[in-house]
Amino acid sequence: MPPTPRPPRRSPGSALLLLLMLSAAALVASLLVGELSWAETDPATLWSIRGTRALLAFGVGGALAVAGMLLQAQFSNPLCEPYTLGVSSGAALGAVLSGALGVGAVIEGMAVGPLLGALLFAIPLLAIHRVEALLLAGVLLGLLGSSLVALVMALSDARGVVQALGWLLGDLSRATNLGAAMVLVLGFGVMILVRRRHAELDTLLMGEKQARSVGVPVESLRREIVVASSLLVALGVAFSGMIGFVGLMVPHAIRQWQGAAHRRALPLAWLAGGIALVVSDTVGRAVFSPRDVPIGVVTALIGVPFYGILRFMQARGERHV
Amino acid sequence: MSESLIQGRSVSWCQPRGPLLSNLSFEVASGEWVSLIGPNGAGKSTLLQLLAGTLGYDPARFSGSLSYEGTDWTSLSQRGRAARVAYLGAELDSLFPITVDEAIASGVFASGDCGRLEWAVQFCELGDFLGRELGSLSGGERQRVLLARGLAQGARVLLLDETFSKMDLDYQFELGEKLRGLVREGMSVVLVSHDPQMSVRFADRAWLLFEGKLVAEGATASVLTDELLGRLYPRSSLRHLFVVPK
Repeated sequence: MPPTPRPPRRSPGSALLLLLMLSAAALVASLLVGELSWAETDPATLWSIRGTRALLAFGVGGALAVAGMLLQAQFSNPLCEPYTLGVSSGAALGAVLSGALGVGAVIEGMAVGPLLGALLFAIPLLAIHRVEALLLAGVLLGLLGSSLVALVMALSDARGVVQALGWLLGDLSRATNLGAAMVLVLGFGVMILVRRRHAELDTLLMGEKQARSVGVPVESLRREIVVASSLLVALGVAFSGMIGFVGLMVPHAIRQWQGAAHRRALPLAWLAGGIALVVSDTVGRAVFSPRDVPIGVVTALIGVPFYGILRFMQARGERHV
Repeated sequence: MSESLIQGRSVSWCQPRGPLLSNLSFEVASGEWVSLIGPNGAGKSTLLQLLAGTLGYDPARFSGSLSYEGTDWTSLSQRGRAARVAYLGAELDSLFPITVDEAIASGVFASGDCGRLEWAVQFCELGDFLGRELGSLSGGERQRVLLARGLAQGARVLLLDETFSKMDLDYQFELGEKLRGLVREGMSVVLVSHDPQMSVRFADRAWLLFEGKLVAEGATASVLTDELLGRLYPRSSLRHLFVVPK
């Protein structure tokens, strides 16, 4: 039987252009949606509420999508997500603990507690040489962090528990200009830096053994992935708490749409992650206003059916080729 | 006598539970096909991976010396080794939507030379498969992709670890004949295979590995004797499958 050709993929240039336009549209829509209208409110005030929040959402979504893509490549496993390494639990622990101690998780716009927590959890991972041990250590650190967060919550009063839940389910209402700028600039910078090793990342998708056999220095690549993904996750969790779904599903959707080659997949994932989170936040605010529903809940509520429809349409398209 | 490409002297490799390879000395010459034979667990795959450098050379595990054209093999970077020696296992798969083209192109990572890609695709008759995802291919087809990737690597030595095991007989022998042609032009092949006919038909020399030791080596016909095969496969009556030309 002759082989069936794969349906042609959209050219990388047009995919990038499409996502750039969607990014602009999502950001504009985010500025327009909400209880307050631009005509009746001081624009500077409204910008500080919605603009900063939208930019933070975009940066965090992009960072989580890139971190997810890197860790899926590292472990040659599409079920990996940004929180696989457990660094996020360190950041959440730092946030909850500093809140409980009365220091405040965010000082002068800087999420000091969460960043310190993430750093503390990331350091031991750099000393691990074997990929299986790295995965196990990440899962164990995640469990340890979650347990300690639960312990701090159990010992806190009701206000402390509510604050902690904000970190655990995602909360964009604490957006600051400094935080949004840091997440956007550092997230984009890390993506660009890591993208220069796209050919090596591609080989990891076929397993570490294959990567070694074509000459990839797997150890140095792994260190770079751990540092980059830890930084991206720490930034995301530090300024907005733990937001699920984006880092797991956006890399999948991009790979299915544009293929697995990291040279084009990484920038597209950064943009698509940003769009996904901005859209989720906008829809959440529009539907549940005036309540501020945790963003992690909204991403899953929108994302799961969206991804299901995407896969269904793709499967139908392949049957018709 | 052809020039020696790879030389191993007193090579040993230890696992935590004990030695896996013990005191092996060997040579692979330019333009020869060596068949590496032995029962399961003899250390064949470990030896090939050691030659490729994919296991590393931790002094706590590795001892002896390995050289490539007189240069200390262990001092080269992994990228430098991959430009000279291509190691191919039996499996190539991915849970991601990697295409056949991308899988083959990954072979040029070490050399950066894309000039052999088209030739490698034609050599393994994969033209009709370009653009398809690796996961949609059969095991034998994926092994042909793996072989094409190894050829694209541009290395002078191919280490094949049961790389033909899932191919149908047509492809096994057709690709074997084509590889034999490359060997005549100076390439070297070390093949691990449990198919005796592959050794008999293509190999110039054979190494017999048993419990981590090289128990015999030499011209294929002189190594595959009833006595040695009886020691290696004591429970089997399949020794007659080694049809050694007299």
